[in-house]
Amino acid sequence: MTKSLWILMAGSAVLLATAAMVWSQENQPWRTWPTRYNAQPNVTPVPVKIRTLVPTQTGKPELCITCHVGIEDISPSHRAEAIGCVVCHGGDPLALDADRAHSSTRGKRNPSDLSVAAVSCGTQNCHGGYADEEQNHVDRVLKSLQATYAGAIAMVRYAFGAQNSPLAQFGVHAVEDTAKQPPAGALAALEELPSTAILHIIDPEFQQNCITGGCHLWSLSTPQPYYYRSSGCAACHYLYNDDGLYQGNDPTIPRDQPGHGAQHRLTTAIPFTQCNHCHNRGNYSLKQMTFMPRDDLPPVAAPPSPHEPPEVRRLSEYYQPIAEFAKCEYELECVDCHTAREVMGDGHIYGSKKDVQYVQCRTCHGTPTTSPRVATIQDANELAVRQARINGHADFLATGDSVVETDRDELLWSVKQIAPNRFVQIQKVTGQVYEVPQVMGSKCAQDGETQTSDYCHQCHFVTR
Amino acid sequence: MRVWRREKSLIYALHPQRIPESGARITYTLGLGGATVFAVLVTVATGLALTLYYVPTPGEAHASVVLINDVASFGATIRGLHYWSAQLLVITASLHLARIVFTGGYRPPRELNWLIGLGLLVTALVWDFTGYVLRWDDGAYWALLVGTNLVRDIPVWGETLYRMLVGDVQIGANALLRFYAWHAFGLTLVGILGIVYHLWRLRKDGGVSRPHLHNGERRSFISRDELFFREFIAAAFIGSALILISVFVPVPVGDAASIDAGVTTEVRAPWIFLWVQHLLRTSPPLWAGIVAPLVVLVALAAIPFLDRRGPGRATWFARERWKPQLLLAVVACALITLSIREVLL
Amino acid sequence: MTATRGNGHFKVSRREFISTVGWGALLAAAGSCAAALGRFLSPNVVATIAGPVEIGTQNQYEIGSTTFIEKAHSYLIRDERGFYAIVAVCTHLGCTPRREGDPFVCPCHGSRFTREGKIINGPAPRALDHAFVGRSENGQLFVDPSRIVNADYRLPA
Repeated sequence: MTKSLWILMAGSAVLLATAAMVWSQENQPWRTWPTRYNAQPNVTPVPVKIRTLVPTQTGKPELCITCHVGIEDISPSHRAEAIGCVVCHGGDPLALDADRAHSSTRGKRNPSDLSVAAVSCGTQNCHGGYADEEQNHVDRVLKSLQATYAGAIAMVRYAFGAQNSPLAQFGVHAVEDTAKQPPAGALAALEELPSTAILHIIDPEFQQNCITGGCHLWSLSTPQPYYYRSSGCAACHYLYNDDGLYQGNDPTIPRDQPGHGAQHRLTTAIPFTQCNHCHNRGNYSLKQMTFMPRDDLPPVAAPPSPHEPPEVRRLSEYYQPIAEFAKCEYELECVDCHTAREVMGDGHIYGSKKDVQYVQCRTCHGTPTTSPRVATIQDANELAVRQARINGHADFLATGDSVVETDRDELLWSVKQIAPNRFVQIQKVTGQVYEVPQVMGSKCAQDGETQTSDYCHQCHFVTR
Repeated sequence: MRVWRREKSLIYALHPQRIPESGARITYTLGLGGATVFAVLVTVATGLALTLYYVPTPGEAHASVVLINDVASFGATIRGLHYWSAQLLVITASLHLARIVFTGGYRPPRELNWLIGLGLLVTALVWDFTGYVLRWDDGAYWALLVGTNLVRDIPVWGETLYRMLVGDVQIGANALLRFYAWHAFGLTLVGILGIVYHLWRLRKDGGVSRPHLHNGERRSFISRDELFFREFIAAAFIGSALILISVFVPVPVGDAASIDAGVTTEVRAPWIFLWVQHLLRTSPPLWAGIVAPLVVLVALAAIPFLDRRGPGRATWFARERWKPQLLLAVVACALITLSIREVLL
Repeated sequence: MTATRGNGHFKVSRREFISTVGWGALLAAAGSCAAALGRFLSPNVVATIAGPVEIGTQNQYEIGSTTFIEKAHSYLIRDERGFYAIVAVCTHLGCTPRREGDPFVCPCHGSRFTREGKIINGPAPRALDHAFVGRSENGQLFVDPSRIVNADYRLPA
């Protein structure tokens, strides 16, 4: 073969190889995402190149936003430019291959899953490691009733004779209270509910039907409309639409695939719809050891019409048909009355809802003879003021204001006294301010000392 | 005034003025020695590029490899080129050794060059191993652990040798730094100087060995221009193949090194030492890991001294040279069989 | 190359044409590889701090104080009008000026600046930059060296 032909062949081979090299560089898989982001309507296009975030706390570059272009900043308290992504999620900050980047993420998509929350959320100076248990949120939640499910477990086992007292002994996972002296009514520890019949024949069936995929913070949700939610801290703080669809701008999250939160955001302004992803969904049948969904909403019936006005729609989506409730209970949000200490626990282990859920009507409305107990804000850095600020209503409280104080000395930052015997409450999600009618000076003839909220409902209830 | 003169160029100086055509035929030499030199050049050049990103500390090594592979433009290609040309160089060097045995190129006066070449092969293997360790992923960490612990088993000097190699009483930051220094600098120096010595010795010994002339045959020559042209074309083809392989067969990036990893992942030695790993399953470490490789090395080194004279010069598979050819065949079969058995386990 | 003229056209032999195309391909490939190497050498990730650095509450800093904030590489100064921050990068060649009495003095080539960063003397071409000082919603002060403001800017206490 002639020399020139050799040169041609060699030149062509090298050119072909170089072209392949350039092609592979220009077609790296991560480029799909900024391109798809740009194709979305109503976005400002971004250049298709590697984007770096260098959080001020760590100083180490993270490339997550190269693919997760347009993902919402998780919250004003967890700004990405301050802490970045990796400190919560784990993962490889420099990898641009999806598998490599995500192989070491904590809790898969949810770093607040209780199996990893202590490392993701509960680290020193974040939500754990403090002397004051109030600030150790992860520890509190791990011991709370919504995570241990201790009350339900105890009652079911008691009903079947697996234990001869309704006192809680087991939880979804074992927990221990290391405090020197748990308060009266609190337990020292809970063991993990066995999944074999080693203690009683009912345990495995109960585990399988009700604990695995059941209604507690360790489990994932049933993948059905109205049920979509996350687990761990995100079960409450990461809002899901009832259809479970993502509505944000991150192109890597499919918008037609149910099972994603509405936006990549944590919030404390938790609407009733979020609580309703577990609560008010139906009832249990002990006999059949199964859950029976309510018969007026999916999956049994059709959802309410989207043309219905919000208040009417809300009424049908809130409590299930058998419930009796007062007007404030379906106008306010759940979180307006159910305090953080009720829902997230106070760091001690309780075995029953009645030990935990303690806020009553009279906490805010008072009794015929007494006004609600109040406490005065002394310091601009008090917990109540911080809570008001984190909830987005920083102007609601000032030093010197009086807010309602509960029987367990918890300050309700959203209910403040504006005059003797006059109180207002700010709704935590919408910000609407209500005047709180007071019992003292009204026609109510209750005995405030002995009669609890059930009795208030007798006159003040609303049914559908 | 001419600034550059072809006849005084470096390329000219590196090649003899006339090269006997029978020794320069690719059907004779298969171009393996040249391919090895080219592979070394590619490896060194891409290695230099990689040193601009790689960080030899346990905390950053793996992250810097990820940076090169995923983030740096053409990083994956350059890393791939480095890896594949390194593997190619081991393969072509071994095949070149086989060619030398099967054509008798070790015959006097070339015995010293044979030993130099053997030294270069060992250098290439150590280069390969040290480079593998630098990845600092699970496989690398375990390979380093086993390899250095084998050194410990050498009687009398084992512990001292271990400490000199590792720079500490156990593997960690010091080991990584030393392996990096050897890989990027020490062995490069040895390798380059060794190649220069090997080629200079080759010219001193009269060039590539070639067959005797038949009756009446006149020796023909090719010019150095022609030889360089052939080298250039071969380099272009090999280079293209390397680039294409780098693009379509990516080099793996494992998970960051951790001593706990072996609990869930398979632990496999780099391919060049699979046969040693297999032996280590059944024989004591000193025999399998130190003595066996040394025996192989000594056997190969002895080849020129097994067959010093007689006919059968410079032709493939000459029967008169059956002893070294059989030895090589046996050794090669043994190593390949052991490696395959290890893979199939 | 022996291109010959005939009938007004260049006559190139087939051999020469093929050879030229081959060399052209090699050259193009070599050029692309050089360009690729150039892109490889240019870093795609650079580690510059994105934004604001929190520095505590205003009560920690007295009037008249100068505090070096490492994370922001700036001096936080409080005067009667409020807070301001001077980026501790000399405008000459980037060394870190230090406080010697009242003025800032750069140790490398001797540029001197006033408390407000104005040049007194030395080879520096312009005054020191002022970084933005703000107050976040939880009452903490922060310095943002990526936002340069003019020398009159103060955050009122």
